[in-house]
Amino acid sequence: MLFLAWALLPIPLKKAVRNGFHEFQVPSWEALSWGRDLQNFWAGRANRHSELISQGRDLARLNGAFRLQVMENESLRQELQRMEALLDLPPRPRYRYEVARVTHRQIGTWWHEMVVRKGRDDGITEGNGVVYAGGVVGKVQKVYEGTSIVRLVTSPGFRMPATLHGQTQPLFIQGLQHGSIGKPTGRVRNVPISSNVTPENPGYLVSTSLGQVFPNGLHIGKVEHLEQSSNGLFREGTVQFPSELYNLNEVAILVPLPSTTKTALKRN
Amino acid sequence: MHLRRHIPLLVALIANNILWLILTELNHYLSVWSLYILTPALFVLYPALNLSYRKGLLVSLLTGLLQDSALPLSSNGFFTLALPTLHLITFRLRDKLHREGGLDTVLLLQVVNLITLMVLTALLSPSQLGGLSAHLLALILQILLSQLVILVTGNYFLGLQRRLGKVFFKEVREEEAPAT
Amino acid sequence: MSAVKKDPSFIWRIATLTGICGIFFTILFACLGLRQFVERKEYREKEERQTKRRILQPAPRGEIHDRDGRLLVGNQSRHSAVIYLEQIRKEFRSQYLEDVRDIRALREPIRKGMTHAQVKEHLGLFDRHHEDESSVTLTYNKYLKVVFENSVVARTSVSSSDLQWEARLKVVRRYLEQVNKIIGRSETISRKKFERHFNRKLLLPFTLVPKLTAEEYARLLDQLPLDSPVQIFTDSTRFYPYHSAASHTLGYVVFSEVDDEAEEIEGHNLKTFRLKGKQGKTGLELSFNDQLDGTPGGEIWRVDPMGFQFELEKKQLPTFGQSMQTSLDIDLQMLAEEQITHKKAAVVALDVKTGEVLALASKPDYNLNDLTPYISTKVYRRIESEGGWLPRATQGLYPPGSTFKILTTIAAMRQGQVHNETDFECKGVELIGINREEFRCHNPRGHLAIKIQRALALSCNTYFYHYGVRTGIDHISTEARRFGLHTSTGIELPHETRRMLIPDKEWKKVRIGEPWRPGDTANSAIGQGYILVTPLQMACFTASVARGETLTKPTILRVPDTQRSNINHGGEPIGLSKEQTQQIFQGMEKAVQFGTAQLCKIPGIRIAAKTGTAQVKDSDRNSPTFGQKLTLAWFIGFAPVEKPSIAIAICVEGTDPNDNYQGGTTAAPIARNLFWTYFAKKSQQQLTQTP
Repeated sequence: MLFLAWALLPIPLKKAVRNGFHEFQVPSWEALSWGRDLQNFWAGRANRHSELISQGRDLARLNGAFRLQVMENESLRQELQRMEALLDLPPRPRYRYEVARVTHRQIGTWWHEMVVRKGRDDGITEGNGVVYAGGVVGKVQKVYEGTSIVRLVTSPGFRMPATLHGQTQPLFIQGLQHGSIGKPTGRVRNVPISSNVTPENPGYLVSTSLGQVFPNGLHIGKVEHLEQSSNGLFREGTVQFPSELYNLNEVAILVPLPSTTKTALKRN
Repeated sequence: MHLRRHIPLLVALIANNILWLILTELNHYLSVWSLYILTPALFVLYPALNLSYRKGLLVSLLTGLLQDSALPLSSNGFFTLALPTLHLITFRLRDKLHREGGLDTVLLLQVVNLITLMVLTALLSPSQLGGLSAHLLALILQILLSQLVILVTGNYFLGLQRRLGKVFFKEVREEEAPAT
Repeated sequence: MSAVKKDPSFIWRIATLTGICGIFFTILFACLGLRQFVERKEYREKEERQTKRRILQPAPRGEIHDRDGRLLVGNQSRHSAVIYLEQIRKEFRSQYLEDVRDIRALREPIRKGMTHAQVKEHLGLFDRHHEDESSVTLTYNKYLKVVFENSVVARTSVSSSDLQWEARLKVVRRYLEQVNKIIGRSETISRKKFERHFNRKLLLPFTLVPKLTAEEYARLLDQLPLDSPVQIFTDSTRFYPYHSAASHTLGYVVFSEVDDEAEEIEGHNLKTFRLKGKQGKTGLELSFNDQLDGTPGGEIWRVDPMGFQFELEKKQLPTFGQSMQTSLDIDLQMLAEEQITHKKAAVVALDVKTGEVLALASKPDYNLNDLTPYISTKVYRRIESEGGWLPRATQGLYPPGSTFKILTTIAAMRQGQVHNETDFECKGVELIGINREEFRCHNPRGHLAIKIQRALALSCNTYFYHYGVRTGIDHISTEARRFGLHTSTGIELPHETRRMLIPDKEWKKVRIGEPWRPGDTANSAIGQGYILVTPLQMACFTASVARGETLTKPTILRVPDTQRSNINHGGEPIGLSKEQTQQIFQGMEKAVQFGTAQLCKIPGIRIAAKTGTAQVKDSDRNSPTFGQKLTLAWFIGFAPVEKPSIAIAICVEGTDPNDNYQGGTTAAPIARNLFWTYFAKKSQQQLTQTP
């Protein structure tokens, strides 16, 4: 009876029920997440003053270095804009970085996802790219009012275009959880046949802006060995993703800026 | 008086919710090793052994919906159907079991939980899982860990729920035939 | 009962009936046995034929490299968005049912006897009108037909087959719309194309958007769900990193069906779907097609009664074709082509010792990347109008002009007509034959007293008229044949011309019907008249002379280092004394030092060369200069004289009667650049090899 009733239930109704139950749980998740933050705060408070002062000094140095880099980046950005205008290049996609705390992670053999504390209210939409300081995290899979589910790049069934660092030909990465526990891996496919990598000289996979989800050059993972694909046209191999992916507490969601979302494709 | 009759139901719901939250938090920390614990059988034990069939079914259905809404879309309503089914199985066996928990309930929990996890693994197609054989070790470890959690906490959790029920309401084992 | 039992006729009848039944059952069981046991194999094959299908997948072709291992022809992936029809069968069905419901709802109110006005009130305007003698058929909403007889409704009908096709098409178009939205295209599909695919290639994916750009490919990868019936299909096309370089030599490929003759792929008796493969059409792609072509892969599918994929039974992966290494040096090749850009010309450079072709350039040519994956009519016509299809180096036939004087010299020396110290007085004109026909030197004032070396260096015509006639056409043509100028070189390239011509008395008698005259010999002696050779032949001739042999067998394949020392070209020693050979070499070297080939002089390198300027009548009827005289600038040469390693032949065609092309001024500078690059590269290689 129950099976039949569930099967016959209209999909919009199922979705509504699901969303309702999800929203019902959000406050408790947030409470847990705040609790963890509070825990970290009190752990921080437990530090001695001298330690805090020395850490503050280190931080100030880093801030100084970063401030210089920001200035340099700004001048490079302007230079780039001038070049692009000269060459009449189509505008590149630009993004707003929406920083979000991770309420909890759900990573195991069955799924690779995390819930973050930003949602529809913050302008997040399904399919937005998610990154962290070390590179690509994944994509927004589902958006709720104040939370979103992020599907990790390691997730089975996740696919994204990428390039090998220094190359332009797009290949693609597919999540594939196997290998050692806690070591995220995936498959890289459609690698140009001329590409060669070795454990001593691994290939670094970076994002490409061609797919309009991520900007160019964000680190994804590395590949140390490539073998010929079954159709003989490409090479493929196992990607090793950074292990921090499974221990993230904060990510940034890439929200495309409206002016660039409708950029016409440049047809060859 | 009317409200008091529903206290066991509320106890079961609140306890399940709290257990689910604890598991969520535990899984959050375990994610560093890409491990995930699932204990669906634990959520139906108290309702099946101590509540009427209808109330137990309601509790397992609501808990299933709760879990499905929190889990990735790939589970696709699995727990909404799985928990009531587990409830039905346990309810039919409840006359032969110790309602306050015992070795028999531990054994039952182990068996039904294992079957549920295996069905879940089979339903998430190998392509979605990226080839079953490739991560068999991680999968076995994950299932073993889940079973261990049940083994350790199963009777304790059942006892806790029963005690809470007692505090607010005199112990009643509601008898009602399951709908067929 | 007992009476019945005792009735003998009854028993007889029963027995007969039983007997007949027995016979029938025996036949039945015999037939069954025959079918089950004896003809089992045949029926099994029939069953397999009906329920199994085979897909043949082409293998990627092997690559082609230059002598240093640089990629000349490779494979490049080509992505297209395709839809797997078996995955949307349910959608086909539900769309069809939905359409049927709609059309039924539309049909419901139409009753027999209704007038046209009443029908119009319900259905609105009709789409099509068909009229015959007794009835009028109106089609509404595409598929609902209402037949009117005597101006009232007689019957209604629905074209279910059309409806089914349209439902399928709707589903596919819905997915196409999704793809278009992602990549920003506005592709469409016609019902005709879809029907053709559905009926003939149901097992293969249906292409929604061909030739995706890198950006479109990336977008689809990012935005298409993994389990979508729309997927990205990848096959390979040929890729030419050097674009038009060595285009005639490398050749191009055309689409072809995968060859299933290969025994490796099972299921020859099954209905087979073939993905398009590639086959060499010209050049090396054609000559070495079998080597470059890999072993195709195959899949055997069990299909359902509709022909949709049901279960993959067997899969065999295709294997890569073998790669090959050519003897071409892409640096030299590109330089040669750059030197003759915007000209009609051919350049051939050979390794003197091995006969390896270092460069084989013909212009005009074509960009190989324009011909892949297929040649558009526009591109074909453009290349044709430019004359780009002709590989002039191997198929272009030209009179060799003064470069032929080397052969005349050899013939004359071998006949004892020319000695080292033979003096000749060039007065600028030579009178030939009984009629004393005047044959002029290119220097009207004459070269005065001249010996063989100066005659070669200054390319004195009268000298060669004189000694050519004295040697005689028989000896000249025999010598030319000894050097293989009468036949194709046998290079591993397809369609090398066989129409080269070394004329003699017999030939003229048979082909022109006239006797041979001394004037013909004079003309032949300076490479004019009827003689026709290809630039490749002249390059081989030059290499042969440089080596002191009569034949050079050119090859486009890289000769392995282990075999370089024992190459047999199949010829014989020329038969000249060392002094005679030196006279020729010195004559050619002097041509570079102060003679006609001065413009190819490179300090520090001893080059022996001979230039030539010939005149031809334009025989191309499509050419605006048809029938007019055009000049040909020739150059042949080798270097270094002391140990020849490279031989070059160049032929540049004049395209306008006003073109003042000359071997010395037009072709020699091209040769200079080639020699320079060749030796610069060689010395660099020697430097890097020296520890």
